[in-house]
Amino acid sequence: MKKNKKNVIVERRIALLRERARVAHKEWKRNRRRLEQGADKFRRATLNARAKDSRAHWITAPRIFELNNNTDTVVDFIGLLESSYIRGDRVYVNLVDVESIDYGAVLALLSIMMQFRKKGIKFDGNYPRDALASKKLTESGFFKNLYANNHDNERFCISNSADNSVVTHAWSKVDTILSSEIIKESSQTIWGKQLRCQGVQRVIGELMLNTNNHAAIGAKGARNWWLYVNHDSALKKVSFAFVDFGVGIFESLKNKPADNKWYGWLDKVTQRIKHGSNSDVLKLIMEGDFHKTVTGKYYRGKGLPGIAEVERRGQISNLIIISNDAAGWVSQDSYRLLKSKFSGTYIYWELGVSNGHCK
Amino acid sequence: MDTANRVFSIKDDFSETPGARSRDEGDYSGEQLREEYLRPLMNAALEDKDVRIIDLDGTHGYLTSFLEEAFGGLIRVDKFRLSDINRLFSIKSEEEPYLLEDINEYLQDAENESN
Repeated sequence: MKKNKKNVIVERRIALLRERARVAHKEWKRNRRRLEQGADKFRRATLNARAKDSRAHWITAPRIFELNNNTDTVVDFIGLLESSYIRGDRVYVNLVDVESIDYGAVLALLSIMMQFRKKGIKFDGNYPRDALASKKLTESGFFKNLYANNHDNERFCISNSADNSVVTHAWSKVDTILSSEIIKESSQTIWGKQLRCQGVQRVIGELMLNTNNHAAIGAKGARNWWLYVNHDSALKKVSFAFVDFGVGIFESLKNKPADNKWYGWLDKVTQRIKHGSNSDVLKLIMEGDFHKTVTGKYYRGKGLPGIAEVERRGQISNLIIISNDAAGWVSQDSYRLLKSKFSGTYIYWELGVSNGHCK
Repeated sequence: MDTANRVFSIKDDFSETPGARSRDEGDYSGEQLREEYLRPLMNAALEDKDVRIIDLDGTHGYLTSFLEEAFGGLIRVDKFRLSDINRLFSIKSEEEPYLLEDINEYLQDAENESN
């Protein structure tokens, strides 16, 4: 049968498109082989993951993945994850270059990835290439907890590994029985017997209460809190990291309703102090002088100042606080502004042999 | 609770793990302590004019808002007088003596606010 002119043109076009696709695929394969040449298994896994889901938003963790020591960079990384979460973008968390890691960073990452999971947003990730960092991440229970079957708004301990770490996720309510149990285990690691540490009990309780009262604007108990407890038997030290992804101290203060005791206080304080930055205000809050700056009267240790008092009394050590764009290394009396904003509040402290306790 | 008892131990008679300020914030709140124990104790003390010892020792620790609500609330909510509380409640804390200063301040603040 004689082909008409129109059919010939269509067939030629199809052939041309097929040829272009074949050439493009060949080029892609050649590039892939070139990229994989000399690549270790981590790099190959990364390339495979990228090929598998090209639409996932890639977010790379910093090499020094330590919230306490590399604060700006880690806060920036958490911020990128948060933005993706808000947009509903699926993400690939690239941890391959991470060389060192602290429990605060693990906790912040875990709590945000749990939000992805809760909302049904797809995510994936890889392990650090560095063997020690990878071991620390695995031993922290990060992956176990991330994929565990748990239910929000229930009180549960999502990991209690036999070696050295515990992760808890609890009610948004204040649960002093849970904190007393955590302290019993901690004192066993430090002093070899179950003791009471009223300072730590106060710190955990005040933080739970802050989350309950202030983490969401105009609503009580709307946000959960996360507490990570790491036991170091060799050093006889227990580290605590607490995170809530609420609005943070300064956003909360800014948004107090007109009938609230704290309404307008942030403006009054920033006008009165020299530079008026949030890090200056954070220092005032922790030292109990925030209230005094406005009223002229010392505010006796309620909430955050109460936590700082616990540190000054020697009941805890190495207290660090990060909230919104301010961070304070309270034990070193060092406060500064951050380049990025941390949505919520992070508090870290340690308990060791030198800290106060009761039988 | 027997309000005739002269010693009230938070640990033995209320909870080893006192909680937050109000009942809606969690268990063993300062509000619960005040309403169920301290208020009746204060009424009984006013009646028999005998001092009650409030023993804070032996617990796992206190939140500031718990103490403020439990003691400050006696003036703010229950309208007791500071002078009566100081006369009829002897608050004891050997393990955490700084709590006594805190409570005195909460009572004083509540008194100032009520005037």
